[in-house]
Amino acid sequence: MSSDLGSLPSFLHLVGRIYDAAASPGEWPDLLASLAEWAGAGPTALLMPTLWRQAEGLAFLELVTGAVFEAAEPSTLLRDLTARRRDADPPFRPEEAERLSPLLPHMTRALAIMIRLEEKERLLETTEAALERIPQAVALLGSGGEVHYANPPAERILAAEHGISLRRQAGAPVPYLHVDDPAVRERVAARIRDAACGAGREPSRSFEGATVPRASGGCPLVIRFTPLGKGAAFLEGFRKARVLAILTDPGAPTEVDQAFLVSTFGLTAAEGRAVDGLHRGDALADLARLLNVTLNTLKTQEKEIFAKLGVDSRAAMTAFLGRLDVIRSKAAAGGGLDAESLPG
Amino acid sequence: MGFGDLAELSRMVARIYEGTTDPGAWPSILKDLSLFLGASKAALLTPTVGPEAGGFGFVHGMAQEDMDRNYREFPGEDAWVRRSMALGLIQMEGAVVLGEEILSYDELQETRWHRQFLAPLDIHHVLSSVIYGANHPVFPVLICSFYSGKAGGPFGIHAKESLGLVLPHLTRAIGLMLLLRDTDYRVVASLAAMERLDRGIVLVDQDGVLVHANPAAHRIFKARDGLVLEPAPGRQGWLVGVGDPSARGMMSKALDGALGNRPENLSRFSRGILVPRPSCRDPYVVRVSDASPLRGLRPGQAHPGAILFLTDNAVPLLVDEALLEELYGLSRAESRLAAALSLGGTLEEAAWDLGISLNTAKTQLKEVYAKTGAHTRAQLAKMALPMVKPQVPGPRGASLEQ
Repeated sequence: MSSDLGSLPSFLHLVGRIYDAAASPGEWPDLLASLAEWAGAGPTALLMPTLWRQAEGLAFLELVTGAVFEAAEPSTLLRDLTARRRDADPPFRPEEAERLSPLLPHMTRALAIMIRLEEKERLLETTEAALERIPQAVALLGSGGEVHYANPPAERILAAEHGISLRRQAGAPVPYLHVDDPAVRERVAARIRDAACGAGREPSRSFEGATVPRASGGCPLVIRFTPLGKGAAFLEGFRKARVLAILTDPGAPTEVDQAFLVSTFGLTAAEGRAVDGLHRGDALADLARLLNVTLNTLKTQEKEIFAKLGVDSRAAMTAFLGRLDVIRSKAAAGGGLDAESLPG
Repeated sequence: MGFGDLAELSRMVARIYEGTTDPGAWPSILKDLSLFLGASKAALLTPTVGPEAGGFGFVHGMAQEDMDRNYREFPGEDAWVRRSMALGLIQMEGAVVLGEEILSYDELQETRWHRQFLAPLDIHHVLSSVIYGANHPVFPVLICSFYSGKAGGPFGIHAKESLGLVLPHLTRAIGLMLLLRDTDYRVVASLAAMERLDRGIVLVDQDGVLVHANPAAHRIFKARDGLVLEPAPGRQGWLVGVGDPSARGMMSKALDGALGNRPENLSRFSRGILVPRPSCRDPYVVRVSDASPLRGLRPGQAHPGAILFLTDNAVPLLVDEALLEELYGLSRAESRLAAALSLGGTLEEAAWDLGISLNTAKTQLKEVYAKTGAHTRAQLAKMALPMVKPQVPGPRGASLEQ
C-alpha cells in the first residue's frame, strides 16, 4: 500500500459508494469495477459470496462481465472478496490484496444493511398489495392530515373532486387531505387530531366519523377515522402515519360482481343479473321490465337466489354481498375486488 | 497522512456505519469520534425539536439527563445554534464550524445558557457539523457537535478537517438508519391498518407459508371450524389448512395460480372458495389473490407471495348508529330501527327487539325513509353498509414467521 496522501480521498469516496449501494443495489456492478481498479488489478473478476434470494431460492447472480455475486448459505455474509483473473494475465501481487482488505468490513456491513432493507421492503410491498386489493377506500394519515398512503379506491374518490381531494404543498414529501368547505375542513381536521391522539393510547376500536358534503350536492361522503395504534418513540413524529381513514361514497352507483356469484354460489347468469338489480333496491315490477322477464319469473329467481346465498330477505342479501366484497362502484369497472360500500 | 491514518480512518468510518442498523450504538460511536477529534464530550441532536415532539439527542461524556434538561430548561437558548441560524450556516448540510468562528468566547460567556448549562458541565468550546439543514423537507435540523473543556481548549483546524472527512459518512449512515426506520414504520402502519379491518387478511410467502395474519383471520383459525393453521412440512412456519377435502383441492389450485406456479390460471380472482364448517354454520368464503403490487414490480424483485381474504358470514354485523344519526339527521330511536332493519329481519322482529310497538316502528320507518331518501329496505341496507362497525378484534395479529 502506498502511503501517498492522494489515495485518502479516493478511498473514502469508495467507502461512501459502498454504502450508497446498500440502498441502491443496482450500483454494485459499477462499484465492483471501481474496486478492481482501486486495487490496481486491471481486468479482474470480483466474487462476493452473499445472500441473494430469488424466486428459485438462493441463486448465482451474474451482474456484469467481470463482477459476479455468488450464492452462499443463508445467514453467512460476506467473508471474503475474491479477485480472479485469466490465466494469461499476470498473477496478483500482495500489494493489490492489501489495498482491497480495508474495504472488506465496509462491504460486509453494506451487504447486511442491503439485505435488511430488502426484507423490510418485501414485507411492505406485500402489506400494501393487500391494502390495494380491498374494496374499501383506505388512506393512512399523519396527525396533520398528511396522506402517507392511499389505496386505489381512495385515490379514485379523492381524484373525483367531491369536495375533498389530495393537495401537495411545494417541497412537501407527501400530499395532504384538502377539504373545500372551511367549516367541514375544521371538523375533519379535529377528527383526525382526535384519532391521532388516540394513537398513543391503547387503540380505541371505535371510529370517529365525519361527513363531507359533495360539491355537486347529493349524498355526502362518509369518512371514518381510527387510530393506528402505538408507535415507537424516536423520530416518529416526522413521518409516521397515525390514523386510518376509511372513505365511503354512499351515493355512488354500484354493481355486483356477477361472475363471482355465478362461479362461487352456482347462480345462473339470469340470476346474476337479477341480483344486480335487487341489491340496488329496484321495485320488482321495474326490475322485471328492465330484465325483460315476467314478474313471476323474477320472483322465482329471487327465491332461488336467496336459497343459494342462504339469506331470507333482500336487506340480508345486500348485507351478505357487502361483506363478501362483491358490491363495487360502477365507476371502478375492471378492478378485481372492487367495491365502495362495504363494511369495515 | 500515511497508511496508519488510512487504517484508523477506515476503522472510524466502519464504526459510524454500525449506527445504521443499531441506533443504540451511537453513544459509543460518539465516544470513538470524540477520541478521534480530541473532544471530551459529544452530542448528536435535533437542537430545535425536543423529544416530546419526536426529536432526539444521543450523547457522550454527559448524562442523557443533561440533554433532557437542555431541551426542558433552555429551549431555543443554544447560542451556537442561534448564531449559526442567523448566519445561514444551519441551512448548509455538510457545514463544519468551529465555535470561535461564529461566536467569540466572551460573547458565549455572557449567555445564561453557558453560565447555567454549559459551564457546570465544563463545556467551553465546540466543533459542530450540520447533518440535516434547516431546509430539509422532512427532518428537523440535525447536528453533530463535539465539545471540549477549559483544559482542552479550542479545537484546531486539524480537528475541523478530520470532522470534514468523516461527516459525509455520518450523514450517509444516519440517512440509511432513517431509511430502515421509515420502512419499518410504513410496514407497521399498513399492518395496523389491516388490523382494523374486519375481513380476515392473510399474507403468505412464495411457499404458501404464513407471513402475517390480521386479528380477524386469527379469530377464524382459532375457532378451528374448517380453516386452521397447520405446521408447514419440511420447514418452519404455518400453512393455512382446509378441513374439507374438495375445498382443500380448490384452495391449493387457487394458491398455485396466485403464486404464479400455474400462469394459465388467470380467472382465479373471480372465484371464491366455500369452506364448509363442521359446526354447520354458513361456510367461510376464501378469495386468493397474488400479492404483486398493482403499481408494478421493481426490476429483479422476488415473487412477493399471495394474499388470502377470509369472510366469516356467521359473525353478526353491527351498524354504527351514531354515524347514521349524524349523517342523515335521524333521531336515536330512528337510527336504532334503521340499523336493525338494514341487515335483514322483519319489521315485527325489529320492533320486538327494540321493545317498541309495531305502529311506532312503522312511523319511525317512514321518518327514516323520508330522511335518508331510501324507498325500500334493500336501499336502506345499501346505505347502511358503509356504516358497519368493525368487529372488536381479539388478540393482536401475530407475525409467526418473521
